[in-house]
Parts: sequence; structure tokens; C-alpha cells
Amino acid sequence: MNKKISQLDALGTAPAGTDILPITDVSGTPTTKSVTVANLHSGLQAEPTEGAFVDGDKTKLDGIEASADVTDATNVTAAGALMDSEVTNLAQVKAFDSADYATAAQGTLAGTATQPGDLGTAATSASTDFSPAFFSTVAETTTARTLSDSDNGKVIVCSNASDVTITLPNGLTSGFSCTLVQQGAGVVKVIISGSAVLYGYNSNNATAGQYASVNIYPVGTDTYVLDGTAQAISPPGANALHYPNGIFFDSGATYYISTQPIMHFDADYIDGADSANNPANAAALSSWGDRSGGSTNYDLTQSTGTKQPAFYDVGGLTGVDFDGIADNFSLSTSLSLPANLTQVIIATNTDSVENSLSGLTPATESCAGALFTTGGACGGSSIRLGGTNQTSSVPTFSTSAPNIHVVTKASTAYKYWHQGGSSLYSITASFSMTATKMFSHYLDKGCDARIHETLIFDSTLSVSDLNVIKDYANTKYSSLSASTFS
Amino acid sequence: MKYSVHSTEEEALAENERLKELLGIPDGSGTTEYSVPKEVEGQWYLLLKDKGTWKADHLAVNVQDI
Repeated sequence: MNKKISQLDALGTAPAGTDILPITDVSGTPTTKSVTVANLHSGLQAEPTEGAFVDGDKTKLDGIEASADVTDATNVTAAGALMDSEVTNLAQVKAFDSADYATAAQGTLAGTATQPGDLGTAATSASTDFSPAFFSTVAETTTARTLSDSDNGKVIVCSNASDVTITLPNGLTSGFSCTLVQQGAGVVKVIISGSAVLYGYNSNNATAGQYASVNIYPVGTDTYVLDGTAQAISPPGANALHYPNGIFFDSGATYYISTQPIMHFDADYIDGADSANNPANAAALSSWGDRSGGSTNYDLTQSTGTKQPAFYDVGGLTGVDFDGIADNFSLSTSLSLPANLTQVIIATNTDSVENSLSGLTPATESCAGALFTTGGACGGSSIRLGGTNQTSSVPTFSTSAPNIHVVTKASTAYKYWHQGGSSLYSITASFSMTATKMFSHYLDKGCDARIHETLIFDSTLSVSDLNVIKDYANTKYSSLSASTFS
Repeated sequence: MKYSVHSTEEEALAENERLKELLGIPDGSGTTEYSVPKEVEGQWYLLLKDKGTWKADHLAVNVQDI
């Protein structure tokens, strides 16, 4: 519908599409034409439904680089993404199959799974590729080695010209095994320590000769079999007294008792540890070490020169000579007499006139206060046992050979044996004593004797154990000749 | 038994110190004294060793064999 301009709505209001706008020709003959709003809009892009551009939109467009190639290597890398060109195993990545890999659901992830380093290097034909964990040799050039877990699976090549002692301890890793090779002239002998057990066919425990080898196989916890080109050699301590925690502790040894003494003084081991440290014959002794391996320090000491006994070492027989005048030792730790006790003394009487011996003795120098004493002011013709004088059946202590003297205490029951057999005295006595000395006598005089060995137990040993000690003593001291305890 | 006999404890102790020096006591191995004087009826007796490492009856003064 045509309208005069006066009929149109005021400007400022959006015209409708069908509204007509008059056009007047102002040149030539005036004519009048009209155009609608729709005519004016035709050919123009309609405003997007999301709205017209606003200020700032151009600035954003200006920030886009020419061609806007956001996938080129520079842009991708800068964004932290990975380009194909950067991947060296692209085919494997693109061919990834989850079925080929362990998953958390399978209980093992790559970070916690067994790693190649845990297994050793995979072997190839080159010998150097064999992992040390599986195969390698260990050169042992000395005469002693204690096996450890690092020897597991190894070949230990022993090259010393002297005999080599290999100690097999308890506590090695489960399944421990190794091979021992005798490359030198020295025979390779295997001994055990702690609770380890070693078996061998025909008691074999050593290599048979140069270039022989033996294998140690595990057959149980701390239990092994030795096999190979082997022979049987008596191990160190074959004739020693063995007990738990002692210098010798093989439960399979000939002379083994299951009870550990609380004190063990052996003239073969003046320092209580190693016979190699023994002094020269006749040397004055300021100490005598306890070799029992017990937890309490019962080492014997004497700091006064005129009271120090002398070491005796003649013809393979060792002892400690007390002069019967002043020699005695003090205990590093005093001992209150326990309810049950066993005292074993192996000694040669060096007093040409009378028996003279004592063992644990108190600080107060009283004959009546001694557990066991004889000689000197305490009575050369009697034996005091548990503070009680015994005058009958007094034996004569040998002055030329070691004798074994045993005192047992079971509560108030005391027994004394001389050279085995049945006890000479069996008495009941109420007796108490705190021992601070050993081998002392009345008036601080020492006993007049050569003490070879002394053992103290804080229990009453069985007759069976006493016979083990007797057998050991008869072997070690060939002239002792004690009879069977009964 | 041989003794070095003295009229006072001081003399006996001095003799003991002299013997210690002559014998090299303390010896570093646990020996710290040579002897210990004992008094009997007003006399002080220092026991001497007459053999072994600590033989001193040839070194001491006023030696008596009692």
C-alpha cells in the first residue's frame, strides 16, 4: 500500500519489510518512484541468528595468523602435543594392543613388576654376558673364608698353597649353594658354624687334592650336603669340647654337651679366644680369658705381679702354675653361688707335700667359706666341700698327671668326684658364697697346683654330660685316665 | 718365701715403687703393682717372687727367706 511520507512512522522505528520509501527524481522532469524496505535488504546477508558482530571481534580476527595453520609442527609442539615425526616406533604405537600388556587388573604394573635388573643379564654366547648372580668365579687366595649370601651360586677358586678352611655358617639365604675348587696345593676343608649342619658321603668334608672340586647343596634349612671329588678330614676342634656359643659348637662333634658353661678357662686359650695369642712358657699372667662365650664377663685378672701365676707350655701340655704362696685370680664379675652348679677342674697337683687345690673362692679368706678347697691352712689331709670338712676317703691328687675334679650342687646337695667313678662325698649342707676369686686359698694364698682347665655351669650336669667331659679330658690329657662317672 | 722387710709402711711402699720401676711395672698388659706390703708384729713385709718374670729377690733390699 502506497503511503505519503507524512503517513510514515517517525524515523527511529525499524521499518517493516513491506514499507514503501518514496524516491523523487530531482533532475530533469520530476518523477516519483518508490522502493520498499525489502527491496533495500535484498542482496544483503541477514544478521545471524546468534547475533551481529560486536566490538572486539575484529581484533580477535586480526590475531589469527595468515592461513591459520594450527596443525603445523611448530604450533603442535608448542602446545605439548606429539608429532608423528617425533615418534621412532610409530608403527608400534599405532598398533598398540592392550592385550599385549600387563594391566593393573592383572596385579602387576610396569613399575612394580620384576625388572630385568632383578634377574641378571640374559646370557648370550659370550661368557661375559652371564650374570654374576648365576655364574661367576671368586678368587680366594687366603687360607680362610666364611661363606656369605654373595657366594650363592658362585665357583670359589681356592689357590693357597696351605690348607684353606671354608666356614659354612647358619642363616644363609634359602637354597644357598656353591662350588669349591682346589686350585692350589692346599686342601679346601669345610667346617660349619652356628646351627648349620653339613653332611657328606663317608663324612667327606674336603677336596681330595689339587684341581678337585666339591659342591655344597642345600637339603634343608641351614642343612647342606657336600659332594664331589672329596675326602674326609677331621675339622678343627675334632677333639675339643663343643657346646652352644663356644669356640667349638658342632652338635655333631664327638664331645658335645648341650649345656653352655658360664665360665670356661682353658690354658690352651689364655686370652679366651685364640691359642695363637698364648704367651711364652713361664710368662707371668695378668689375666686368663673366659672362653665359654657366655654373656657375663668372668675373665680372670691379677694386677699384682707377686700374685700372678705363670703360664706353663711344655711338650704340648699347657697349664697355669699357681705357686701356693700368693698366686690367685680375681673374677671380673663376682658370682653369687647359684642354686645349682657344677665345677669341673682339671689340674695337676704341684704341692709335693699335700693335696692343694681350690676353685671358686670368696673374698673373705675363710676355709669354711669355700665351695671346694684342700691344702695349706685349709687342711692338706682333708677336703672341704660346701664349707664342710671331709676327712674320710681323701684321695691323693697326682703330682705328675692331670686329674679331673668335679663338684656338683643341687640345691643343698653337694657331691665331689675325683677321677670319675662314683662320688667320693655326697653331703647336704646349707652353704652360701659369693665368689670373687678363683684358685685362692686361706690368707690369700693361692693353691699349689697347675690348672689346665676349669668349667663352671650354673646347673647340675647329668652324669651323662660329665662322661662326655671325662671322655674329652681323657683324650686331650692322655695321662689323665679318668674312669666313667656313675 | 722371700720378703723385703721394712720397719715402716712408707719404706715398704717406697721399695715396692723402686722394684716397679726396675721391673717395668706398669707393663701395659694389666700388671699395675709389684707387691702389697703386709704388717706383722710391727714389721712390714713385701713379698718377693724368686723366679719367673717378676723375680726380684736379687734386686730388693733387706731380703729375708721366711
